[in-house]
Amino acid sequence: MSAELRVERLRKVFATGAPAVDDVSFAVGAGEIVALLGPSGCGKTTTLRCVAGLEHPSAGVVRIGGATVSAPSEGVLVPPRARNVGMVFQSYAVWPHMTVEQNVAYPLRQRRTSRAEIERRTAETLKLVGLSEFARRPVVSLSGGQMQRVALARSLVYEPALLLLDEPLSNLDANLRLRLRDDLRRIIKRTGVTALYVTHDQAEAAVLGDRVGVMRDGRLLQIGPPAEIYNRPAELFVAQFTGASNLLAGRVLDRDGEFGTVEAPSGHRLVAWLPPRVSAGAAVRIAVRPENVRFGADGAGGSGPNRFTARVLVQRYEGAQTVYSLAVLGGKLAALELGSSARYAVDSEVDIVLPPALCWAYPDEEDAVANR
Amino acid sequence: MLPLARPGVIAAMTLLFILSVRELGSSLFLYSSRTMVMAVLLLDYYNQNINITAAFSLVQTALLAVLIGFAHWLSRGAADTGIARVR
Amino acid sequence: MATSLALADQVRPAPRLASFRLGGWLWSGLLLALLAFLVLYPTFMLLYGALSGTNPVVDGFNLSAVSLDNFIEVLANPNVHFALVNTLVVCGGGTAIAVVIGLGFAWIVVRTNTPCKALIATAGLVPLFVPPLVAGVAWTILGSPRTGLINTVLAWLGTDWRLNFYSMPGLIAVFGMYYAPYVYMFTSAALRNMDPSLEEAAEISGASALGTLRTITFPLIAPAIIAATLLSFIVMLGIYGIPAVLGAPANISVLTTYIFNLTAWSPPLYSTAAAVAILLMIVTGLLVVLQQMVLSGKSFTTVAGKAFRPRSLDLGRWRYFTLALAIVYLLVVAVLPTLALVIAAFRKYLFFRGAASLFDLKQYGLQHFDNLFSNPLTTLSMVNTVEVALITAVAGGVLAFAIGYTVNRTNAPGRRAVDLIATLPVAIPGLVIGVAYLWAWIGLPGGLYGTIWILALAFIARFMPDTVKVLSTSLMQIHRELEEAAAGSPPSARSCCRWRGPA
Repeated sequence: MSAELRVERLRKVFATGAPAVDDVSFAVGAGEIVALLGPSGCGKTTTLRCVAGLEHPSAGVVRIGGATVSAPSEGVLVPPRARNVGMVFQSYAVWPHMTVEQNVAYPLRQRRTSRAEIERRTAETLKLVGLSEFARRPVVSLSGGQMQRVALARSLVYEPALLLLDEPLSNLDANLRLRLRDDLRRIIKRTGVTALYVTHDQAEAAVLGDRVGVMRDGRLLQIGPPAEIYNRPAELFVAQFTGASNLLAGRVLDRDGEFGTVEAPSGHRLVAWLPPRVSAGAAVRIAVRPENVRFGADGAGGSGPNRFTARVLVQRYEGAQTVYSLAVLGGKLAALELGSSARYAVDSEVDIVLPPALCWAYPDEEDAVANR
Repeated sequence: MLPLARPGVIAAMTLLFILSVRELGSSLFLYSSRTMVMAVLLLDYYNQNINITAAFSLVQTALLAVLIGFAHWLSRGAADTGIARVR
Repeated sequence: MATSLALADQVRPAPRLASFRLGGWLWSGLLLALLAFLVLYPTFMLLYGALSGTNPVVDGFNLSAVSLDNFIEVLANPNVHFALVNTLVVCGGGTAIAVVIGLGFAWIVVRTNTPCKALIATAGLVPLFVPPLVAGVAWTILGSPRTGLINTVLAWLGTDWRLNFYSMPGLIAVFGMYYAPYVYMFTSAALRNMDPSLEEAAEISGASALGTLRTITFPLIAPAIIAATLLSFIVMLGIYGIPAVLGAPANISVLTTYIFNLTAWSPPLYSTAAAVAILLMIVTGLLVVLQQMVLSGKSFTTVAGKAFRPRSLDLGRWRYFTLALAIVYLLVVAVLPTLALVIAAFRKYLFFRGAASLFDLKQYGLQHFDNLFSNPLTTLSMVNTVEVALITAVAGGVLAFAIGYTVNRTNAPGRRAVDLIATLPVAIPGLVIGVAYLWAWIGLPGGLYGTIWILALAFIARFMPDTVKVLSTSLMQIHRELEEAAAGSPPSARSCCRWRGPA
């Protein structure tokens, strides 16, 4: 039976340094997958480990299926083994002294399940993850991807209320990662288990999560469906961490509902979406995804907002796509053209459109992601 | 290459030095009156007078302590690996 | 995908940097000749002596004299049986104690929140620095049945309880205490290098703390425990100093003391000693092979890539109990023996009217040191020791570097043979090397026997495996650091394990 997970005002302070998790609240509905996304050290793994019971929270409440499993203020701390959760680790954590079958059967044996039932469910779960023919193999003879499937089977075999996944794909090589990523979602959805998935990879979060939560410095900045995270980032950090690498400086001239007019240093004006906290006169930085820059005189009339003429500074051909660096609005703009033929040469002039809904202006003082 | 290997060589040499000072088993068969070594003489004293043996034990221990300290200082920790195998 | 061995051992071979052909053969030939001279020739002579009952240098080489008779005769000798059984009992018992102490220490240091862990970690290693003979001497002063300091104190306390270290249990206890560090080093490294999520996965799967220990932790470090057990057993087999002083008064002979006694009789029974030495070497060699099999066979792979933060168990108030255990160990293994040596060295007589007279300062003085240094042999032995140690260090260090470099960094022909022969002395206890060198050089007129050089050569051969290993490890390290620097990642934060004695 899958169950709802509620995390309320969770806080974890280690002996030294700033809080690892700072006032984090969110809920995962029964059968839903929530992906926690953030750079390393943002507190996503610590949050997950607090839910698992491997870390003892400093404050806040964790409830699984309505039952309180962690509440320091009430002195409640249910040990991991009594929480009925499954967990998949980054390092696979399959037991090297056992076979595939023994690994998967272990949780059932701890639960004193009957031998016939153990055999049945182990076989069933191994079939689910596609490892039936490897059952008798020593687990160390498997590849990394197969080991992670064993770990997944082990965490699902006892039908836990909640599945926790801690960067399960980051030790795999790129090709395998993509394949297992799609398999993971399919398998989790088939079992219907509630899942909390931690990753630093935005694409992984978007593919796997029904909703994505972005964390930074112990705080949950935004949580919502992937499309919302990608198209309406609440903060500059969220925008940048999910790939909006272009930043254009400007000043808000006026505001009209959700949108406003921003003047670039070059004097050009563009229309951008403004978060509620930005008002006229504010210095802003506009974040734009390279893949949202549209080439050509969009539409027949060639009128409408945010049309500019840019000059191609650099063209980087990547085979399936081409990355351009454009000089526009008194700054540089990276733009992406899909397809294997690059249409714009260096030094040529090109018309571009920056769709207002996909230009987001954030107050200038907000921190950007370093080194991106 | 050689400058990089120097800490390892120093560690190995100090290890050898310390092991040699302690070595009793093989010395027992190979010493002569002119080539008497500390470990063997300590055993000789033991068969005569326990007090002198104790005094000599202290001398030997102090010497070893100084050597180990010196080795530690010389290789800043690298010698520990080796000393781990001292018999 | 970086996978590394969770246990000790197996440094991956560095790419061969240099390559040479004819020069390579000459170089390898030179190294092999040196090793043959240092290791193979004495071993062969020992074997020949044990099998023929003659010394080929003295009596002339005669293949027809070679037979198993001498060896079988030795094996049938009840005194040999007695010594062999004693050896196995003492080393077995000592190993059992060493495993209990060593495992306990490893667990306390790696897996608990016991205070002063740095101190405990150091305390666990202290016995390594105490020469066995000195430890033996200290324990005769502490534990001799009538005049021992412990029994003096017990009598003063009014109990009838007495401790007798001139006994099998006494020998076993001292062996166990002083060789626990081998087990400690091995198992603490295994515990430290174990991915904590392996245990976390068990707990999440529904296992209790004890269940996790039994079904996951213990099986995973079992190879390390077995290897450490064998290693401490092997080391104990070759120890002479402790049984010589603690066993002799109770007529408990072990193989090492028996071998020495055979050569101390007149006329010395060298060929019998050689045969017993071979027996000791065979037992040791078998155990070394077994140990290497355990280490290489059952290496559980875990995913490397990040350093593990070992799980630490909150012991609550019990952490002071574990601290106390560690302090008691330090007290018994270092403080008490040192105290005993100091008292014996500075006190005029080792007789006590009562424990109160321990503190009578009039009884103390420097007279024993005066006597010690009035004997010219004392200073001579010190000078000789330093001289031999210097020769051994320099010559042995250079040779070991040549071997380590050739084996690890070149593709010189025959480097595997070089490696093998240089590792061979691992299986030869010091005493046996002594007998072998004696046998090999005693008959050669004007030769090495009786000079400082034979001591140095024997030491170089005896410590060759250790020295080469230390150097190989550092040579590998260089390679790895260069590689990592090139890849732009910081030099090894990853822990790396070493052959036999993990850091």
